[in-house]
Amino acid sequence: MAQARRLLAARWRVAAALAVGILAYLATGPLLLTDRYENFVITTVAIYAIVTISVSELAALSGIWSVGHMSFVAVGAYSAAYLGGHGYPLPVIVLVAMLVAAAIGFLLGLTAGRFEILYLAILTLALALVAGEVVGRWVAVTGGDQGASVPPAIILGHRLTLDEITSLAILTATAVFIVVDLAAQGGPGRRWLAVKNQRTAAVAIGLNPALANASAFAASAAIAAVAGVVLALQIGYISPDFFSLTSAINFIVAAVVGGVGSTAGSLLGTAFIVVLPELARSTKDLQVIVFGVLTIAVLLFVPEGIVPGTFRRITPLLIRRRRPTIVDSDTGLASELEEWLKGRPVARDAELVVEKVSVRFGGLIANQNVSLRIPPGNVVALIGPNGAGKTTFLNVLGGFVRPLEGAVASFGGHDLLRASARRRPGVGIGRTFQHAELFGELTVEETVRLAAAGARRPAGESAAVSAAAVLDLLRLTRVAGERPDALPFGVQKRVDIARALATGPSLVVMDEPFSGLDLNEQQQLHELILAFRRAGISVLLVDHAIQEVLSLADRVCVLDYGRLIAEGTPVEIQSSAAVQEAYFGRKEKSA
Amino acid sequence: MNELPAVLVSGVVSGATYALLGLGIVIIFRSTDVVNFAIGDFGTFGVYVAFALLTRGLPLLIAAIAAVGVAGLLGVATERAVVRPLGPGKTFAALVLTLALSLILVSLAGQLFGHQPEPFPALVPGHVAILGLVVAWQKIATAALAVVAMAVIAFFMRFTRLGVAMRAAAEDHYAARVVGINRGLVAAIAWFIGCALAGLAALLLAPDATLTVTLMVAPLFRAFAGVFLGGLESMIGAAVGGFAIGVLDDLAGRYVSASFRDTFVFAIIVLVLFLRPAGLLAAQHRQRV
Repeated sequence: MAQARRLLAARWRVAAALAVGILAYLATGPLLLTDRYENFVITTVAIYAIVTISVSELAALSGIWSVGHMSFVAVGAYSAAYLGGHGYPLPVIVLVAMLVAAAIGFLLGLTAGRFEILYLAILTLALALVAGEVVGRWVAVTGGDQGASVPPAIILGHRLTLDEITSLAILTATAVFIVVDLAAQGGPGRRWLAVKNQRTAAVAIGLNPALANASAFAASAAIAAVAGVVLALQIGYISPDFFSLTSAINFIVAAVVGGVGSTAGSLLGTAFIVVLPELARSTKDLQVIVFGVLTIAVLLFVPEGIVPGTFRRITPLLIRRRRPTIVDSDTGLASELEEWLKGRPVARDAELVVEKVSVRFGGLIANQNVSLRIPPGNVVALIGPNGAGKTTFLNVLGGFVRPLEGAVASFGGHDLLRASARRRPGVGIGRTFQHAELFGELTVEETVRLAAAGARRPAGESAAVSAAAVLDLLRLTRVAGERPDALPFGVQKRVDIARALATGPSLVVMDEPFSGLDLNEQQQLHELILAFRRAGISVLLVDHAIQEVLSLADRVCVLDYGRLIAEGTPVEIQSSAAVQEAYFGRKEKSA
Repeated sequence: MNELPAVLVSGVVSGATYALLGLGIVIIFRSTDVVNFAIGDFGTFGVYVAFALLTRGLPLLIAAIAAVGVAGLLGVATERAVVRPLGPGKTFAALVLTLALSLILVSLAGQLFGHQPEPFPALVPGHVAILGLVVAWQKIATAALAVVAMAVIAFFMRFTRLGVAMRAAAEDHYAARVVGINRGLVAAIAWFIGCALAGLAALLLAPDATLTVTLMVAPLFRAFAGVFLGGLESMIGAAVGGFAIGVLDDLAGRYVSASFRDTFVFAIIVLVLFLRPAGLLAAQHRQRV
């Protein structure tokens, strides 16, 4: 339902972008409704809107705020001047500019995951300053402070006139808006959002966060470079003044004022930064002051931006939002799931072998010589008091923590210690999280489909089909279009399981799956895990819910102070003195 | 003649102003989670006020105190009027807000005082020869004043009740509230101190650079570089980072390329961020999974 609504909305936005583009084209072109000056303003808005949307969508989808996008515009503009001066045709110039900008953006994006949002913002701000310096001093290419004239563009041997450049700008902006919107709503956008929302969970379904950030930044930079080329053609002469820090900041303001991640907002925000200064050309100081004051007013009073803010206020009046429905009845769930799992192409003979895992954080020994085996189709539980080292052990398995020398960890013959964290789903290890860790801006269906996209599926089965099957089996179809924040915690944890299942695991590692569930949900989960086992899928349970664990597991391992203090069948563990002591303290002899 | 000593001295002196600015940035960030990009412009504005007082015949000392005070009070007013209403946890919106504020302040200064560069008198005129090196008293005064200011801040943070309360609030806003620390007061004082430090830095920079509305743009960039070196959370880091950038920048300007100084500083930042994302002096971030 919600899925269909969103696709419909996307189609509407494409149509709206086309309509605006065609109107602008007709007004400036054949219909002659506008004069030279108005054409100039419209062209500028179109070009700058391309930059704004590249900044805005990068922030919305990747959480990366680039204050340095003016640098990429400069790359495009000076490519047009320099390469155009050497007689290269427009398509070649555009391609080169995009590649250069994308390469710089890719490198910056690779670093993105390492820093907090503020660091990256200031880093890109520094990039803007440096770009200004390079443009001013690299005289051979840029002409330095003197600037450089831009020769007329040539397409297929034809020299573009000024009017044709206006049309070109409008056409380019329209195309960019449509492509960006489709990419944002489609696969790339969903991947970037997943990485932005939950990095660890994104890795656990096989996504590569560094690559996601880098590709997002590269794409965004390439788009900004296109705007730079058209900008240079429009004004015919470029100088460092165009690429000042103030203009770099302007695009951030445009994105924030219009509404981050909103296409209409990008256009509106751009109109704000272009038209306002044009209205008050004579009093530059006053104009900047008004500009700054309005920006602050928007930040304070409509923090989500003008377009989303307006929609948020209007929508409740037009559409009454349904309360999220509860999941369907669980009748027959376990047996259906078992049947379905049996038909999946996963290895059922893979054994998890872990030996001598030791982890030290400074002086703290978190794991000491922990060894553990999970034979195919077994449920093994790992229990222990708080601080026993369970999470550390999970992180070693997940590839997030490297154990000391001498450790062994393999699954079905794959060496886990040498493979990076995101290779886990590839070898058949799925993971669920204590707090579900769902992707906040993705719907349930998108989440599960994203997980299925990288999984081994039967020939001819699409990710969408396999996601639909998982959702149906786990009785999540009715909430498929919801985002996690609309769901009760118990349902969120079930979506987490669906996400892990969609990766096609032969071992599911579950971190405290019972915590936060009510009795009914605990019972359902119990049935689910039993269905996994009957279908030959192993489970590693890490939990505090001793009763559940003891009634489910084939074998139980007990950690305390980083060491394995007991291992055996549930019956053996229940009567183990060491376990009693670890959990309840030493029994005092009564006097 | 060997120029190295002269270059080093001038590096330390400019580094002192970057250290002051960086310290101001860190103090404000620690107590309110806001990266104040307008901090340099508060300082510039303060110096313009001092300049106006000077042209009306007031003594330099009064004007200097006014510069620092005005910068600090502008900071307090900003925190109260626009930063606090924004609400907590909006670090990026706050950055954009201070960017907009910076635009406003620069234009306002231009509107009120004009865009022409104005000469600003040295706090201490004259030169002195030390070990064969001729140094302007102004440079010595700059370094000395900066060090004294930093010592005062260090004393305040370490030994006064309010200073300790501010450090506690920086560590954990919520816990600080639980033990009865007034967060609004802490924020106001942090913004006053931070922006007053910027006022002092601007005051020390103005005589050499002449007074313009963009007086603090380049120093702010270098102060940020210093903050990156030391880490946004570390006051000592920001101070040491500021000095380091001052020296490195002048060395690069003299021995590498005078035209690409910003690029050089940027390269240092990027290198540091790759090696130690949390800053050279900051404690290593614990692995979060």
